[in-house]
Amino acid sequence: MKNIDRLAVILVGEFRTWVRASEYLFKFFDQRAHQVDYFFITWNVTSQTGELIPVTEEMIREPFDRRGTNLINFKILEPIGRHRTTFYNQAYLAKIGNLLKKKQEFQGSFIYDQVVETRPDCYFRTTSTSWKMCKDFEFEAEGIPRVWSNGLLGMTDVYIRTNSMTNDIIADRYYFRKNKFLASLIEKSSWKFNDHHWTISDFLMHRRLIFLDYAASKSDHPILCGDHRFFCCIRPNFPEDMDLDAEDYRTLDHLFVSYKKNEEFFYGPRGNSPLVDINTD
Amino acid sequence: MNLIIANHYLKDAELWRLALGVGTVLDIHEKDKLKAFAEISIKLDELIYLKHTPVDWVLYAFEEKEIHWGKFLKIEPAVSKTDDTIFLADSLTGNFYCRPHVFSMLGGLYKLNTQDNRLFAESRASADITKMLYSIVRSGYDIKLL
Repeated sequence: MKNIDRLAVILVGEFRTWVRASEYLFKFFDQRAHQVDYFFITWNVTSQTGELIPVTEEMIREPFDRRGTNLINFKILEPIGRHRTTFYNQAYLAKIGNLLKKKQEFQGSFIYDQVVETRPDCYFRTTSTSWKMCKDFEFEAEGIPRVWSNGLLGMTDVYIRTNSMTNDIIADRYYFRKNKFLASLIEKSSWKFNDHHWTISDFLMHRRLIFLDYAASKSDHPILCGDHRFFCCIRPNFPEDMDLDAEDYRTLDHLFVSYKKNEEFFYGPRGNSPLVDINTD
Repeated sequence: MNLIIANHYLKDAELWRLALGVGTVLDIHEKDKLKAFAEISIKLDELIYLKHTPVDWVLYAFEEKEIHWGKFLKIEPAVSKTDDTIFLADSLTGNFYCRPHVFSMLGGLYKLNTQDNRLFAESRASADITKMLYSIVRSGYDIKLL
């Protein structure tokens, strides 16, 4: 299944359950590439239960050191506090991760075969088929941009695989703006789409990028193709002694969804509505 | 206006900066054009995202006689900060102005795969120009003469 020579994994987002998620993420990517280079960009605080916990270099490094994996570079940043929204927070971290990746390539005179941007708190269940390579302007993601129940286009934003050139384009979305007036109108009639799910989808459409079509590959079971067949975010309520790989996906999904009542702790002082005027900073 | 003069082969970029009355000179050392774009993109990202320096415009300065400052000042107030257009001074091979985010795409051009794409075999333009035009169109950017 290892059909990638050199894979860059750019982990962006709040630290959260990184220590728990790391063992599964390492295993997930190790199966796919001969060399996996990690970049880790996060904020200097994390909140899971309402309490702000400082994030240190040791907390990030420990799982890499324990596993002997290749942490190329990392950054622990002050919260940007500007657009206090999920979309712009993630976009900012993605941009810094992309910068570190670009510098690594430029200084080392090589190009990564594939690049994954994902989060440090996610669990992905692998598939048994080889990954189809993303070419220029193609991406593989956690779910295709699709029309959701009230007619607007949205997608999950936890995982995007591309080649290196397309990652340079996708990671450059912090400048992207929604029209505040238009967004306000949509927000009134369609609250579900006032957030990062439709903003990222809108951005990918704006850049004319194409979803990687696993269904067009030779497999008889396209539904079992793709980079993974199940994902969830690992929340603090996941039992410590539970082997996530051995659990039925419905059990994990239930744990994930049932923690949602505590989600305000995750957002802290942030909102989730990326309303920014076209010409504002 | 926070202008970056990405100096790629001007004899005296500092003199130009003084003449224009605005700008910061960023000297680019890569000789190859597309690798120079990559160097500019890395330096811009460091300026904007790590050092938090505001950058409104980038002038890619390659040809001494193609600054066209007056023409640029005429269009500048009407261009949104999110605009994706590359404003060419005279030609595809020379100077241009653009918003800084456009260099994220330009900086990746040297990675573009040309082997499986007949466009590159059939094009009469140079490989660099073909890559530039193809990517501009393919990923929704724009191009315009000043």
